[in-house]
Amino acid sequence: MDDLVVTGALGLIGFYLAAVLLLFAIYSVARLLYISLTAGDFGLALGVTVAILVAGSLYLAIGCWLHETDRI
Amino acid sequence: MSHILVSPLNWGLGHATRDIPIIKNLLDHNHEVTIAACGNARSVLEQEFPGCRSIEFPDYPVPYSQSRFFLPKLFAFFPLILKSLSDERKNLDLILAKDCYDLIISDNRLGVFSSEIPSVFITHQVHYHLPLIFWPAELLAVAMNGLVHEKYRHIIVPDNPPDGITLAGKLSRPGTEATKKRVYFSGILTSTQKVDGEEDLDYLVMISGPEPQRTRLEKILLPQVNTIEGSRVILLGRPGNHAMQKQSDTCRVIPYASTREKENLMNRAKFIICRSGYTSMMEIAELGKRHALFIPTPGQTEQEYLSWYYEKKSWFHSQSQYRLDLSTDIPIAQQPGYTGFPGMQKTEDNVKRLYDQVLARYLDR
Repeated sequence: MDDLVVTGALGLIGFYLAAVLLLFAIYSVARLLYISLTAGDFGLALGVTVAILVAGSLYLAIGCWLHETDRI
Repeated sequence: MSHILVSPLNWGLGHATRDIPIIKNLLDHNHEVTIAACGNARSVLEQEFPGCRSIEFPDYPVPYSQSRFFLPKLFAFFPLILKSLSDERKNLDLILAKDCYDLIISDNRLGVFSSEIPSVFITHQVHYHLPLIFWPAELLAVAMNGLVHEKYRHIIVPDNPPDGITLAGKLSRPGTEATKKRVYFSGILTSTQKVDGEEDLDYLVMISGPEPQRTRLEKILLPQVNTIEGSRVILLGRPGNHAMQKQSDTCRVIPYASTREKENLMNRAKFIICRSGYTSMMEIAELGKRHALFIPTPGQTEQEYLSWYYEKKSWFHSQSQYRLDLSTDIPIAQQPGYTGFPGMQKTEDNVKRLYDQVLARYLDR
């Protein structure tokens, strides 16, 4: 098979795998948050919420930095 | 005399029409050109060059979306595009086995290259634009582009170099070493030519691009165009329908215009309303038009980026088709703050330089 097609196929598999992993991570965090809230463990719920906000802000900050520095 | 295979992508007519000046130049140098394309792209080039041999060469399915969510559909289309790419490689082998070629020119067809025959790739997008939230995918796309570009001797970008007046902004800025080593900025390339004459048409409205968004824009624009003063021509971009409709003494609706008719109308127009597709941008730059209003196709990130970029540069005003109001947007677009594209070298010079500096080294002189 042509090497461009093989590279494309591998890239495609990697892309879909990353999408599945991302969805699984979102599901796991949402589940952890739900369990901690229903169990009354508000310390854990707060910790998870803060972690989500920090990770989300960091992700957006990197995106904004790449944009501002003309890298994307 | 050398033999060149020219193969444009059939996603809209823009790829085929920007190849017209290149093919003309090759024929002027007494080279033989074979066109390998499909659909309307092939028809346009066959009409323009009846003396050239033409081969049916299918490309990729078009993932245009009915909604503004173009990206999810594009991602879902990836396996189909990959399958088409595989078929394209096999079909190219058959084409190359039947005849001898000295050079391959691929216009945005990723699989049209050969390890034995010098191959060049034409694209105005060496850097794909995605919404900021998808920044990792944008970086990945830059890297993937680099892998594709490694297959070619040159990457011809129909734009000015990034340190000059760049029409495509970041889209034409190379991001990997592989691309930087191969890139050649040809300047704008368009088949539309400037004709000296009077600008006697107040408004030219060009409703073009892929369906179903073309029809949606038609439904939004037609009622609004009737409310503006002055002479107006509306090009609907509906192939197969040539009957002209006259709405009033000052308003004509033309379902489909040939490239020559369109060129004539663009030359006559004082103000142009159109999609912000890169081919239209090169045409407007070639004609030196100062006043226009752009309406990006919803979900097409390239057009949305160009609209944003031209606003930022204060060159042209753009408006989303969902918020479009000609009675307010036309006066805004006519404000002196919008300067139009700065002056730049035109196609005639660009295509000569492209031949001398890039293509000629692979061809008999």
